[in-house]
Amino acid sequence: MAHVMRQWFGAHRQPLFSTAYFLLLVITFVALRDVALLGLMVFGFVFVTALTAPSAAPVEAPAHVRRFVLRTLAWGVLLAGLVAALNYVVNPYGTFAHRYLEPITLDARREKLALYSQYETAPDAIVFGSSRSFTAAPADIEALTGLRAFNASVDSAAPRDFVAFLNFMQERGHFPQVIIIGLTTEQVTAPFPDRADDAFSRYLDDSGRRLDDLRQYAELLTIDQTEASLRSLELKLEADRPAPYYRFEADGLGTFKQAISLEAAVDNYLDWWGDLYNERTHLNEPELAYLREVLDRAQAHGARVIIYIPPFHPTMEAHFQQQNYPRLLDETRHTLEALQEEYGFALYDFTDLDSFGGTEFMFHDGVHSTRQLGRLMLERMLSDLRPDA
Amino acid sequence: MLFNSYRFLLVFLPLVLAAFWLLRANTLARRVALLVACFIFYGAASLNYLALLLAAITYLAARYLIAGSQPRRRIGLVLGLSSLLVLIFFKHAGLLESSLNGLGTRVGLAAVVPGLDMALPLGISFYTFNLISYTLDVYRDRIPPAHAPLTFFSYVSFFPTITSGPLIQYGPYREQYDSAIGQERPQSDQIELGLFGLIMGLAKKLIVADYLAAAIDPLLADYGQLNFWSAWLAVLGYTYQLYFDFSGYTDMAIGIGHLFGFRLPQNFNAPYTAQNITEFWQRWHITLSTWFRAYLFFPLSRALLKRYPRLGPDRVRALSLVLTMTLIGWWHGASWVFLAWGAYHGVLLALHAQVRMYRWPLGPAWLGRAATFFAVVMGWVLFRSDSVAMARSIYAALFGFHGFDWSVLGVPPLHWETVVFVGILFVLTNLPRDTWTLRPRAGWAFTAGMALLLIISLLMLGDPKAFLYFQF
Repeated sequence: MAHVMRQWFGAHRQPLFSTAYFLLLVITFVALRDVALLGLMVFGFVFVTALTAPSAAPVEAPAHVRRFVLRTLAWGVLLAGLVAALNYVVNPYGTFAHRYLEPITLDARREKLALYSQYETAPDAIVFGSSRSFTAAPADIEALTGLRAFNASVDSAAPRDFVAFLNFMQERGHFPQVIIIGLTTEQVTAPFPDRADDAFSRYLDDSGRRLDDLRQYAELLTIDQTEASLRSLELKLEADRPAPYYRFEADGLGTFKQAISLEAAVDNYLDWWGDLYNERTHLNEPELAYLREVLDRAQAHGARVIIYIPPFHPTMEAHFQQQNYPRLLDETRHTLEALQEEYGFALYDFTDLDSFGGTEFMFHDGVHSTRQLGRLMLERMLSDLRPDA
Repeated sequence: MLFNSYRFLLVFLPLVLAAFWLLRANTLARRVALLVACFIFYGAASLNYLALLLAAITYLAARYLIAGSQPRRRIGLVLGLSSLLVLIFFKHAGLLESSLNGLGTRVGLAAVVPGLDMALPLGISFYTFNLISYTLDVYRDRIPPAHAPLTFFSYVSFFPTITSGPLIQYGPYREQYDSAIGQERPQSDQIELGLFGLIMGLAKKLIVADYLAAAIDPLLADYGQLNFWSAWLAVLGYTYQLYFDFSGYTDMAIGIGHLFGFRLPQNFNAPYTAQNITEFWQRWHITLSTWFRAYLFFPLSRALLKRYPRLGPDRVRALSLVLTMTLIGWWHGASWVFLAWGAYHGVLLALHAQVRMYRWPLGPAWLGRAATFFAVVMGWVLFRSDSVAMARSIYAALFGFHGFDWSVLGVPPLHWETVVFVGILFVLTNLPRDTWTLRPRAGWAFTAGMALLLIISLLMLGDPKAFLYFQF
């Protein structure tokens, strides 16, 4: 018996060893989810297997070489295809329009493009702004004015994002009748990071567009996206996906998760944004040029523009008073007033909560207003656009 | 252009390979295509750097002077070695600037020499070494001067080796070049070894070296916080990072060479299995050690023996070893830590030479291997340190002067995975052979492993990091 087993094992040693090792790889990877460690173990397997290979005379064995090259390349194509297919189907960052699984990290720019593409009809009114304008509800705009609206505001926005979205709309033959811009001092103060990679950059110029089209497919073969896909699948299997801090409705309205008290949420923002206005020192001229471009194009299309400056939570406002914020806010106001004289748009300053009936409780955190506060501001801004006005 | 970039792997290399093999019927076109590819590769780093190839033109002028009377030969030699001045200037311009400005400040002047601390041009060390070896070999009548400018310029700028070697002398290169240019189709073993080297090199760099860098760089950046365990993990991690980074580059360079029909010399041969320090230097950065031995150590030893015969061959050898290794250290960078690292190895080599001379017993092989590894790792502390203070602090932690609290393991940035990672590398680097001695199999499991390595490496290409030796 032992002899038979020895003989059998001798004949099947290599496949057995390989199978066992690959099983070990899978177990290790599932347990640790560390791609580099998986890679090292595969490296070890290849190294040790090659170490024990009988030295051949490969020059005389082209068949061996052909097998090696063709099999390696065939496996490579197969594996690359599998990884790309996994990332495409799971779509962890919402890069593609389909949503078989919910993206694990919401990319507001991609999401807004996708939502707009799926929107039933072209909106009459569009909201531009940062996450501080997420809660300007299109439904409220429609109720107040009868105009169908879409909220195109995105996180960490700058006026270049407004131009990009206008380009995106115009590519579809749309241009809104009303443009509502929630303009903050953060948007027009330097420096802004280079965001050549974001989903809007392709709508700023043609080179970016072509690059982005290619990039979204090239990124199917990146470690970042593969790990995110695996994480997404894991969350799906565990049915334990944490809710994102905000999500978007079909009309672009942002709704925030309120998992902690307002006081704690404000404290968090005090930590995150603590020195923001110590670091910001001046207005960003290129961004102001983008704002001017929006105004020029609105004027050319006969669209009405409404610009408003949204408020901070009073605690946040008080915190920033010690920094460059008051000066930069003044400079922003003066710039907007100068532009108002030139272009004749409506300008509203909501930085003083009391002036329009807002309260410190109408916030999700230190910077993001609730829909209720958003509605108060919309009511002020859109009063003369009411159907009965 | 980095080997570990999409641009190189998916665009440059396939195009150049296709051009090289498609032009097999026309050797002149093939030579031109290879040279153009070398210039594009080099120029892609920065067009300014291309101007440095003018040093090669200086050398070409020297070619005509060398083959003449003794005074002409001397002039040719001086001209040929002038590229060394360019290397020294770039390597030490920063030091010169700070020294002169420091001096200026002492006498009450503002910046005397502003803006000399410029980036080191890509591959300047390696092509300067090639120029020097060529000059000296021609001067000593070991090889005839190059007649074909295409051959010479492709030697100086050969893209697989220009950035970090392996160093190859002009004689062997020309043989390889003539053979490769004359080949109608690639030899089957070269296709196999080329693909194998390329994938293994990529994996070494992207999977091992870059992973280790991400794990240990934060530890070493905050070296004052290291204790016994974290210091050992960081230093061992760096020991393997350096080896896998540099040997990964070399595997790729040699693999690419194979794909063009070249057989380039090896640079590593399982260095961490060395049983003594002499053997280590026969296994580590082999072509650089060989270069310094041929063009510095032997001439220096001969000159010292001739000038100071009373010293005797033992002392001369020891002195030459220390001087040569210190110069190697100085070549790595103008800092005290590099000088100390070079001198440290010089002293170790000199001591080992004495031990061999008198056949002192060294104990069992495993002890020799462990002691050599320990000595090398201690040297890498100097090599990795930015200052003497940093090296001192790491040494103190390594020897337990900063505590033994093992609970730091597993706490970010010190993950248990890194410990496992370093453990696996310890085993792998103690295997008796290096990548280039391996023979790939053609079975399904092996080729699946190779493909998996390739795919994981490609996945990690998103943010390519330069090879460590590019800085030298």
